[in-house]
Amino acid sequence: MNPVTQAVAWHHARFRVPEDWEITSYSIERREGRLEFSTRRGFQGLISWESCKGAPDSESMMTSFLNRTGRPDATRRAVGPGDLTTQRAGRFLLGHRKADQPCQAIAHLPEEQKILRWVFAAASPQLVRDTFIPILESFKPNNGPVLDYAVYGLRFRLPASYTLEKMTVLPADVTLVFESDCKTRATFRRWGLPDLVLGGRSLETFYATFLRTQACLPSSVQLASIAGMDAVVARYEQHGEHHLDRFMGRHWTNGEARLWYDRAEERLYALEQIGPRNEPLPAFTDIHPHLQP
Amino acid sequence: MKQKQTFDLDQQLASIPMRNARVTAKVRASDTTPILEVPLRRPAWMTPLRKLLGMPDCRRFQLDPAGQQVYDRIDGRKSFENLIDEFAAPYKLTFFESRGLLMVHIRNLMKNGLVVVGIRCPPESAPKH
Repeated sequence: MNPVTQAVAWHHARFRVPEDWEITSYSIERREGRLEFSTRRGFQGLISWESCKGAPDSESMMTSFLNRTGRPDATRRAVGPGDLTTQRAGRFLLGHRKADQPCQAIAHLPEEQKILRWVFAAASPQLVRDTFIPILESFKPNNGPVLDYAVYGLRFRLPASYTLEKMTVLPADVTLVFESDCKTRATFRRWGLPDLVLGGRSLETFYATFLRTQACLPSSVQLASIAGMDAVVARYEQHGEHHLDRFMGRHWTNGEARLWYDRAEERLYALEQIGPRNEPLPAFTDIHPHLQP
Repeated sequence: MKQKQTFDLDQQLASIPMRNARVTAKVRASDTTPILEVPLRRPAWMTPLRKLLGMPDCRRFQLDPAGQQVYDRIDGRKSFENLIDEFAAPYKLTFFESRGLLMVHIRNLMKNGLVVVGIRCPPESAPKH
């Protein structure tokens, strides 16, 4: 049995999956998209979200999915709702047919007018009992004034006015950029292989150089401590770089950046925030409540 | 047209990267990583031309520290999956992070003639000599 211990929080949903499940495909759109999970044994499952005003006919959706993805029966008979075995797991209706066929679960979120659909690779009775049902039962909606995010080892909270603008996922190098309605920006980074990333440089030297490569002008970089970890706190400015932007664009001077080295995880984390003058930036402790001193 | 052969995930993981046996490593005191020399194969008729024009008889590479670590771990016995696990453990990388990094580095090593990758074939599909 593989216990569901890894927290994942993304658009519309918070849930737990087994520790060895990794996200191998993602969508950044809140309107519709999916997250796909795999292990070294291959595809394990995916969760997708799409708009749906009314409550869907979950069983018909499941049977049409099975018919669309192939009819493994020797008779090639279309699957009907009567062929499915269904059961409730939290807010989801779980439906499966045979052990070697994909297993699905559908939940409607009327408060957000969305449906969430899980598709799991194959459904042996033991997998359904030990893995799929705990995943579905761990589900919590991710809505309200503050949203949780937990993907690729990054874990933080942001006001709902922040929208994910850009996401770059490279091996051991993840960047998520959010922008709010007031144009304030928050950039989250996570690097693996810290010794190779730092290349023998101190945290201050590395981060000051790195910020310059990101078109930021650091005005101060100071050593600090975050939740007992070595860290640096930087203040920086950001000016427009291209064409008229240089003269008429942003001239933001309130940049705050933090870099910390989690030696237990062998990871470097960074958070950079900046915005127009007079726009308040969310407090670091509100974004990372788990990093309280 | 000849179709490019593709391998499934299991075959990829079972594949075995092997070093080019003709590569020589030269360590300079000033460098952190050695210089690797890959001999070039040229037709015999080019020998006088090569000597006349002073063309090099090998290509030299210096790998970055991560690339060197990958190269050092390749011993011709460990499968790609073994290397992934071995590379992931000290750096606390996940399986896919380690796999992604290794794929990039091994691809570069292959492109430069430093490494080849062998795929285990079932006996009936092995080429007959």
